Amino acid sequence: MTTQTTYQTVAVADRRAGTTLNIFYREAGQKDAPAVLLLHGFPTSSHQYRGLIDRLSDKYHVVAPDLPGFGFSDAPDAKSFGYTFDHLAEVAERFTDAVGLTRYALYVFDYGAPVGFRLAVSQPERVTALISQNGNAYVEGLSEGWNPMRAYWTNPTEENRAQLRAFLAAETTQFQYMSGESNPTRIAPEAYTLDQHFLDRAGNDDIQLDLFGDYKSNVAAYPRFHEYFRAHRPPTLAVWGKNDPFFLPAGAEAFKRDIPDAEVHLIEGGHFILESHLDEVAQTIRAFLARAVDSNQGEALFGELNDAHVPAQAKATLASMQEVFGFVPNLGYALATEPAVLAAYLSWLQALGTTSLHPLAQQVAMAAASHANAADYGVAVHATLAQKLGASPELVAAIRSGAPLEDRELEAVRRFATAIASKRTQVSDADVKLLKSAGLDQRAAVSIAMAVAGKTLVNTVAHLSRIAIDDGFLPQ
Amino acid sequence: MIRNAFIALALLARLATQGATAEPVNATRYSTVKVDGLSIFYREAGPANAPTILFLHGFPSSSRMYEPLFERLSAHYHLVAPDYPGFGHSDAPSAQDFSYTFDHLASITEKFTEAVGLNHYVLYVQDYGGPVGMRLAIAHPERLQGLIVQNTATHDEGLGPLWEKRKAFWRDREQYEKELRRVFFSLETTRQRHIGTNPHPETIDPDRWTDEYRFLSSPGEADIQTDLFYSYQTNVASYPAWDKWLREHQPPSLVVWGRYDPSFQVDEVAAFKRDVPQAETHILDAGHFAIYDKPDEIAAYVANFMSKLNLSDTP
Repeated sequence: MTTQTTYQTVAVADRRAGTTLNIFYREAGQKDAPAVLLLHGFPTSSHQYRGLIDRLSDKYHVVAPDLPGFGFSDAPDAKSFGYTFDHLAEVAERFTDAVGLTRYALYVFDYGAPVGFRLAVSQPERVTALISQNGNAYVEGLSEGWNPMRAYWTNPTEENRAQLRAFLAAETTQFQYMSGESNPTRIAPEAYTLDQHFLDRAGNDDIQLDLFGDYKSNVAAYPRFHEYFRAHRPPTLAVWGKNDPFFLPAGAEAFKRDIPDAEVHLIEGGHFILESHLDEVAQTIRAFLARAVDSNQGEALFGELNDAHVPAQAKATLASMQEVFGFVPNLGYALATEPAVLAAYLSWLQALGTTSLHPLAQQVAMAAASHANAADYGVAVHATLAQKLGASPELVAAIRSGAPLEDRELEAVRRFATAIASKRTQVSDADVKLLKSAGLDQRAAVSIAMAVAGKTLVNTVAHLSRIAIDDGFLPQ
Repeated sequence: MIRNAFIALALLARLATQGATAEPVNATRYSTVKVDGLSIFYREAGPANAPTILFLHGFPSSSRMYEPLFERLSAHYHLVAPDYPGFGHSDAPSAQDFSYTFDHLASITEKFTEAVGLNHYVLYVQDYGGPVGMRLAIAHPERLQGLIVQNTATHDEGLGPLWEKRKAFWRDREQYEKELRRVFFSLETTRQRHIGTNPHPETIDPDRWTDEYRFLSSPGEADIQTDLFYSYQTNVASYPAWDKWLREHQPPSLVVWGRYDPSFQVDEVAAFKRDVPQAETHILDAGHFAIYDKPDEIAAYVANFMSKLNLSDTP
């Protein structure tokens, strides 16, 4: 249920040069949904976010610009423009104004980090959360791969500059994608091919070499970034490929020094984990945003959800949930707001359990309905329960990501539940045909309808209360 | 009663398996294989023992054009999409060293299917994939389990007015080659193939034509593609023979067609059905690259067609 991405440009005033720049950006999702600003790295563009945009836009307003000199944005001549990170950050800030982004979760990768952190320092009130994906802010995060750059920073001779041209070669671009990845056949060639197309444009070499030189200003700005981290302590997730040849995992861990609550999630991949581990990264981000951003908005309506605020009539029910799960799921607290609704939901669950639908198929139907409703909470719960029912790791992963299922019958259930939820109950003849072709009958059809109906109730409550996904429902 | 509601769940908890998240087995793999000394790039996804769909791409694309269908079909089918020599990420020997004709591309593609061990397949063809695929079908009818045709012609009715200039080039290469090269390989034409008359150009990822333009602008490509397009006349000359073959063999067929294609006329659909009356046909509000415009619809038609074929998995 993602919304269609649009590809546009917006004119952004460049105060330094006194001109305007056409800034290209990808945008998707509802404009009144919480915003996520995605800032790309070297040598790529917003193209690196094509997959992530698809996986966030059902819940978030996602915006990803190309920085000047990159991708489809204007790339004025290096001599006239003055490519520095300060300048890129100024343009990025003007860009957010031009498209009306005044509050956003900030996702930074590679060059996006020094640009994004400058934005945060300049307007901290706009930042709802930080996600750093191999986006560095600490000296210990810089590997020895930076030595040729360091030589140029200390001694900016023509000779040291010429050494850096190796970073613009097609082999290096491909290396950036492949290095640290155990399975190179998973990397789509179109990403590095497009990057190289932009690098090979006339004059782009000087743009990139100037930015290599100015990168020292980022290292110099780290203390300023740390000061911002300490003063504002934004909810922070560092999700890093641990085999990145340029940015070391120590750089991810270091965020905790200034933001003690920062979450660190290391992934068995390299620099471009959005190419190799897209679903894993996307799920980590969605769970983080649900905790960090969405939950703040929910409190206004529901207040605190914990044992201290449970109505007396719901206490016994929640105690039995505690017994089953080992914890009281956050959804339990939210439903307990109206004890009659909690009781109704549980008898519904029991009734569904007595239908002819196979227990695993019940979980698939409820996960699919939750997915169609963009309710990650429900998806997580039913993926976990499917796992407890003995589903294979592959099947659990597919349920979690909303992917098609290999088992023909389960896939038919998934599609039928999705059709009911996304077509507002008006399933087509083709949907019914598909169900029947997998050997499922009218009993299955009405049972799936029941599964979807119950999820409409609890997904709504999950959205209203913005509950976080309990640790017990997260992938182990 | 409320406690009973959880008995099943409590049982489940005991069955808990400690499974870690796994990467989907259906994720696309990007590989190369040697065919006649050339490195042939291909995408592959889905379970290897499931029924195979072999995707043959058009001009000036590559296997990449099938990416939206790969995402949507890889759970159930074994999907294979090569880049022809001279295209995408396959080797592109110069036009002096390699004869770029449709016969030659088809012969390499046939050897490719053998190199990766495809004994049976449903063919999905678009644009240049049509003439390559028809040659494969006729050479090995025993391997063909079904035919999916999208915006490519095997009848004169499918060729629109744009082809008058192209036919002139076939008649008199010397006189018309310069003009063909000027138009065929420009950024604007490459962009227009995607935008066409689409009222919402902002929904089209500019990467689509940027990628193709980079490919067309690489050294030697203009010569390669000019030679190959000169050979296109052999396709048109073969239409009567191909149509006769279709009439005689009646392959299970699905035609999905983007109606806003300036190159291939929607009249082709009726012409195809005349030869293969049982063909299932769908005309969509989409362009030449209909897969990008209507990925969900086309994936659903293909899945439905595949399930009607009742193909079994290989053990």
